[in-house]
Amino acid sequence: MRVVLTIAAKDLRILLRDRTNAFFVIVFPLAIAIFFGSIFGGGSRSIPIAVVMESAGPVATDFANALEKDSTLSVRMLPTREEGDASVRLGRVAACVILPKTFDSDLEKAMAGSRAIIEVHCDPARQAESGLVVGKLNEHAMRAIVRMFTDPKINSKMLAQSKLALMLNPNMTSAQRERVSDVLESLQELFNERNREATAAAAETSVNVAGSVNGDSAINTVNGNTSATKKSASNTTENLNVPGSTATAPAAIDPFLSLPIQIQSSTLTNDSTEPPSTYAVTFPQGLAWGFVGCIGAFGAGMAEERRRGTFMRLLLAPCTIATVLTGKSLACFTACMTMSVFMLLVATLGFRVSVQNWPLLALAIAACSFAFSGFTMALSGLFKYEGSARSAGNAIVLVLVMIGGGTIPLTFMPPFLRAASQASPFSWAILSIEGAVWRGFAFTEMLPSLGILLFIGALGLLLGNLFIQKRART
Amino acid sequence: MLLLDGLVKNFGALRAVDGLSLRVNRGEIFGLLGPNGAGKSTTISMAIGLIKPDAGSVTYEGFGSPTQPSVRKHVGMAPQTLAIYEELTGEENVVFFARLQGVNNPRAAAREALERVGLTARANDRARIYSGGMQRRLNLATAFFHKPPLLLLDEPTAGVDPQSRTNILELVRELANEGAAILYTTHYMEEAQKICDRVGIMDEGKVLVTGSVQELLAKHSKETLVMIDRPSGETRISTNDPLREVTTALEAGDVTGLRVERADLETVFLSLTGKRLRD
Ligand SMILES: Nc1ncnc2c1ncn2[C@@H]1O[C@H](COP(=O)(O)OP(=O)(O)O)[C@@H](O)[C@H]1O
Ligand SMILES: [Mg+2]
Repeated sequence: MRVVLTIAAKDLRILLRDRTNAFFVIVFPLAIAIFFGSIFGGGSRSIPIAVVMESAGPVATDFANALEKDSTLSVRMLPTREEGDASVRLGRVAACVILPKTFDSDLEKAMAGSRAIIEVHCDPARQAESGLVVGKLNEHAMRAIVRMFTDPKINSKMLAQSKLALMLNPNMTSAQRERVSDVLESLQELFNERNREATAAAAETSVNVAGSVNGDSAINTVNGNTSATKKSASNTTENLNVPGSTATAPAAIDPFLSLPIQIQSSTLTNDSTEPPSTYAVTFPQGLAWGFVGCIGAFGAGMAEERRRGTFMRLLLAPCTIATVLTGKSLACFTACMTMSVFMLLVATLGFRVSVQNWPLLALAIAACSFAFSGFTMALSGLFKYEGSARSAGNAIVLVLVMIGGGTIPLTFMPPFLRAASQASPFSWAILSIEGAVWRGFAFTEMLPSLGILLFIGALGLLLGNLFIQKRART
Repeated sequence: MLLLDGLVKNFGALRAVDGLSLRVNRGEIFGLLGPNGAGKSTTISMAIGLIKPDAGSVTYEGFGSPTQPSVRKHVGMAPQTLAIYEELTGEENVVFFARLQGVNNPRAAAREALERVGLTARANDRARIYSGGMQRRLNLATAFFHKPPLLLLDEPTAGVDPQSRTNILELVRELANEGAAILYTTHYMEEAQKICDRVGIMDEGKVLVTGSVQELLAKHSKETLVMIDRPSGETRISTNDPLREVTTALEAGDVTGLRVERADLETVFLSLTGKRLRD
């Protein structure tokens, strides 16, 4: 027993001798716990979306205002759908919501079977967030429909327009027309009555009064491009949660006239190509993990040389420390490049990932390799002992890849982590590779991420150099 | 060739090297002899520019200061802690360091150096499986492959078998004969006595005396020590005539033991510091 205790005491003492180790045993788990706590815990978070209003009608305006007021969304209003799509492509927003030109006029003819469409163009790499966006849009569409039937200005115009559309519908017999017309007449009466009541009562209770739409008749969410005729809406109803729903359902009066607003979501496609395959979307993340491997292989390099005693020999070479470090970084750079080329071969040949822009991809991979070899050098200079260089290095990289690597959607992070993810080399690495593989980046669009990657690499080399110089001559 | 002038190095409160000055000439082996912790390795580190002295200066006469990278071309060093890559073969190790030094034909230089340390047969084995003595010799080979005019060897025989030791000592002598200036640290007085042209005796950061072995013996330990054990205790007598002292003692009777210690660097050290070299 004494021997057991002696061994345990010795190991613990050694653990505590290396202060960085002690830090990672005690402080790091705490940091991780807080990190995940803040991700899965409460706190405000909002999904960045772009909204393009092509229609200037009252419903579209109200709809856009409602989106802007929604705290779970952070809306960026953009003038054209091209700009909206571009901001998705550049990774600035999770999705682009477009209210088309005919949005309001389509809605006015809702009773005649016309449907207003809201287009959502989602970032294929941000599926989780896009899902939330579509859910949110459903909720707001629901509210808009409720308003349509309760706002006197809108509903009387809507009935008039619908009647007109019915009269002009060549596919209906006059008997059918008459019947629908009757329905619309009595609906008009109902509305008039309700509107009088509503004006008499407090102004803003209207939502409650008519907030009665039950989901399966009001909304249809379509994934894909052309299912406007689909009648069932069973796939989105669980997202709809209108408070204070009561009995009557104006929109359900005529099953023939259901679904006035439809959310039509699609993944963003580049003009020239079909949407990227799943493998194309996950490939950049795969590469990021490859870089993690390279950092792991080289991150303890300096501490290793120190343990071997060869560190001193390297310092004695008739060259500057910077030269020695450059050589070491070159090894890391080469490893990163080789790994990338290998992964790329597997992706393109094995998984049929198609690359949109090969020259840009080459640039992106070179910039990433540079960034990570500089990063590795900084990491390597940070730690004195091999053990801590490995464990602490791995921990740091793990955190950076989690916050910057798309493992956890940005939206689920609290603001400080979202800001931190901008500093993670992995977020820029992934963006630049996605940009070349499927986001269709132009060279100028690639420049910011390339610049930041080069900056990270240079800064890493500089810091690594400083750390190591500082340790070299005592 | 090597000129150390008034070197001082403190580690916190500890003064590891305390005003050390010495000169090593070409073709000469200068032995820095001192017990563990005397400051020998620290001195070597300063001599090669690895550690910055708190005071004093290091000059390679005719070249400059080793803090300039180009000057380091002219020096070779075998550190006390083995500095080799265990994953590489013996030859790969030397070739790597030869390239680092900018040697013209690294492979040829490596082969020659390995030959001289007797590792040719094992040149293509990984250093990991070398014996302690072989690793030590490889460590030495990475110091002299470029035939530098100055060699700093920090305990190059530490922990080796007698055979390796003989090889190393002979080699060091040859290198000096070829014209290198060699600073050789050791805590084995036999080694210092055997191969060093001049010796500096070092303790607690200071060089106490310098001179050839003969000079040191003559100056600081003229006399032979005779130790006579009697039941009443030990008697030590320093004398020029040990034979007479021994005879006298034996004639007086009740001698239980008798030792005669001829003057050597150990006794010089003892007389200078009151301590033994190895405790
Ligand atoms: N990096 C260091 N930090 C603190 N003390 C040191 C350091 N290096 C050496 N020392 C101390 O300086 C003294 C001289 O060490 P060293 O030069 O290695 O002696 P030697 O080589 O003669 O055995 C010793 O007491 C040692 O503990
Ligand atoms: Mg030493």
